[in-house]
Amino acid sequence: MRLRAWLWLALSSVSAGSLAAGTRPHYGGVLTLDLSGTFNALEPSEVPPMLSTLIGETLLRINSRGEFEPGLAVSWQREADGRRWRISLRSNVKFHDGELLTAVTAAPVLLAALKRTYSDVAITPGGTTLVIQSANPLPDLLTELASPRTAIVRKSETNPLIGTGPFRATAWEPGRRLALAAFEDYWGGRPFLDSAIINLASTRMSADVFDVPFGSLRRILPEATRIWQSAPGELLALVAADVPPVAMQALALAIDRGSIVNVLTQRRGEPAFALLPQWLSGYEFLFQSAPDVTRARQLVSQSKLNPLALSYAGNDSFARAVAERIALNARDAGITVQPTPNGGGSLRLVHLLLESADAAADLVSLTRSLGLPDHANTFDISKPETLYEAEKALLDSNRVIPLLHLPQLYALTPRVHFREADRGNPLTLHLEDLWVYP
Amino acid sequence: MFQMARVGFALLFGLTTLARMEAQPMAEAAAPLAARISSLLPRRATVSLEFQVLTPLAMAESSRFRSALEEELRKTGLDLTGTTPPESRLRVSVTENARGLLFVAEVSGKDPPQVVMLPWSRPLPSDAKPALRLVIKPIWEQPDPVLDFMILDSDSRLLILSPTKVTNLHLANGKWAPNGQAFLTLDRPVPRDPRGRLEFIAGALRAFVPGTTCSGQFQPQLGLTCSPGNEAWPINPQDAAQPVRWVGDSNVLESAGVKGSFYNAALDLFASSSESIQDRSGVTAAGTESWGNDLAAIANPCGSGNVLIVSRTGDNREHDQVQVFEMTSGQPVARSEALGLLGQVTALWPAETVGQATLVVRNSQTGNYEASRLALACAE
Repeated sequence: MRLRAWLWLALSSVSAGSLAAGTRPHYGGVLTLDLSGTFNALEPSEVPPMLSTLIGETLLRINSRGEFEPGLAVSWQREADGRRWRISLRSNVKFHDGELLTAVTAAPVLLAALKRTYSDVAITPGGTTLVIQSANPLPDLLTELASPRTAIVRKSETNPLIGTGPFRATAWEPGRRLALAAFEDYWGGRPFLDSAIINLASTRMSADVFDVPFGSLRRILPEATRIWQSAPGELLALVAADVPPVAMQALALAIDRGSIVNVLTQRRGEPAFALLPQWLSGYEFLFQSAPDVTRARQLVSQSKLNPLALSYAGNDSFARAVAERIALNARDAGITVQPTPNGGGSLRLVHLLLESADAAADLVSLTRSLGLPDHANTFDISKPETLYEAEKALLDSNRVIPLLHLPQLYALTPRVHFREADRGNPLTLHLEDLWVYP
Repeated sequence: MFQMARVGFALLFGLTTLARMEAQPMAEAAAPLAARISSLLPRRATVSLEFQVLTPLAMAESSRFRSALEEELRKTGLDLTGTTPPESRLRVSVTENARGLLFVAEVSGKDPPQVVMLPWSRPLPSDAKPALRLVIKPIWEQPDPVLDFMILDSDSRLLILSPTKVTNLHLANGKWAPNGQAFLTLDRPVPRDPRGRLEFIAGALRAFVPGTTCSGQFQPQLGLTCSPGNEAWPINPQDAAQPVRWVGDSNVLESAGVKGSFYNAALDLFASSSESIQDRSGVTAAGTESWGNDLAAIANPCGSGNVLIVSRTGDNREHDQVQVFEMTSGQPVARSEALGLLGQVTALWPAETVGQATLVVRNSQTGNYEASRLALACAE
């Protein structure tokens, strides 16, 4: 299915007039946003993707096609076999405190961030140009420069986060509440909203926008609320630690992903047969297979398997429901799986987020998060089969079983509008493009 | 800059859809895909072919591709006749990833099965409805927003208003070539939904962007001086009776005697910022519910008076449409088929030339801003 189709499929319950193209946005107003999750550090790399680019911005961005686009940098040039990169900064960009973005102001922030990945990297600022160099090639530097980890931000005694983004932080109560105000001098044009109030760890359903965790899908939403759904960008997977390969093979055959999707996600998710979803890789269908309990039983009958403990996060009701269903499927195949909210299981149910529409970068990120062998140096994005081969090798290692690809769900009240006009990250709602009517 | 000069509009007059330069016809993928498939198989191998389409695609398009692929596979020496038991099985899938179309070929019969893939930029959808009356002439496209443009000097000069500058181009050998630019001095960045208007009267050039008014000339050299504030300008160059001005540095307009702010106006109808088409007293005009926020008056070449070109949502929410309406007894009556566009309308203004309108669309595939001229032709 086409990428864009995801977004509009998601909006099928939205009235035509409320989000119609052909209409222009409205400036002003305050938007309230309630999030079920929370965070204690106001850092671009720590906050949810929806918030990460609102305050701090990166030099590059990745668009909905997985291509690099200018952010705070307008151009970049690879030199010396990738050991040196010349980055030209956008001019007339201001920080929220009025200071101009220059190579001199950006260099120390960027250097500190890049040092976490490249220990020997050095940056030479000059005018509006940054020269980034290393003794070794930096093939994935552009991906790093598009990551929230390298956002150009700083702090002051009075401001927890000063960036160049469309919103500036006006109040921050760690773990509880973040207040944002439109940055009038934003280089990309001030956001439509005047301000936004973001409440964390909230389970209310009275805000203008609130997220809908999969564990609460059965709750009745307020009347006229619409659901916005991102492209599926969250992987739910089963990860093994010291589990016999035959048990993993049998589990993969026994698990009925379709029923999990239908019942537990209310058809909002997708069965996952690979780490990357079909919309992103285009080849996930090659891994697709129907449940085959008979074959799973045959595999199990040839081995003597001990009971397996399956760990899930204790505060995640959706994960618990999935774990219980896996245990049922496993029992049908003759495998004893015991779900437990405590850690230490030989099987773990994990949620992993894709960062962008860059399939290669996502695969690297997922494999590192799962502790699987890293095949990054074999990827050639112009040859998707290199990604396929790498992913096939990961799945053949019998250390991970992809289960579901899940979208982000947000409920929008009727006064919230937006226009899906750009080609930004399809994995999240863009607060800077929302507007409200009084 | 990645500005792409298009051939002069005179050469393109008569096109009814925006140029589709980026699309690669799908059938052209057949030869390179066949070459990659054949590299996995011995020459003259007998092969069974299974074909599946996993992405929305017109049946005629997929049939053409399949035929082309079979022909190309035969050219490489493979035997697809199916009269003998095949040595190998070939399954070709047309699918899609974030970057566009993807052809996936699986060859089995050997151990292990082999897979080759070929990415392909997706052909844009074909128009279902020919625009018999609305004629669109592509003029220019660029990555930066085009707020407005003018064609002057006997169609030999093009002025493009972008959020931060006016670019001067002249027609040379059928192509627009840059001939200077003047930057706008702005107190603060332009709004997120940037808008602006150019005016050229009696040798004086003016640019109106929200919060700033610039004045100058383009001959002998383009030059502009800007000052804060919103001066008034006629929304229709052919009719000075409706002066408007930007409201602050936002994306809406105001005009004396008109209730509330509005996005655009024509024939005494106002696309109100409260999301309806209203008259000047604020009463919603019946029959305009499907209209968007942009409308322009244009002379009717097949009758008397003016008609309206109106933006509206297309079948695909990313693709707007424009359509011609005539106000008859206070009711809008459609006078043309809706013309599908390749993105959302970002500007629609009456042009400086009688019988034409300025249209800017942001192409949802390329992200570029495509500036065109709209004109009307009588039905045959």
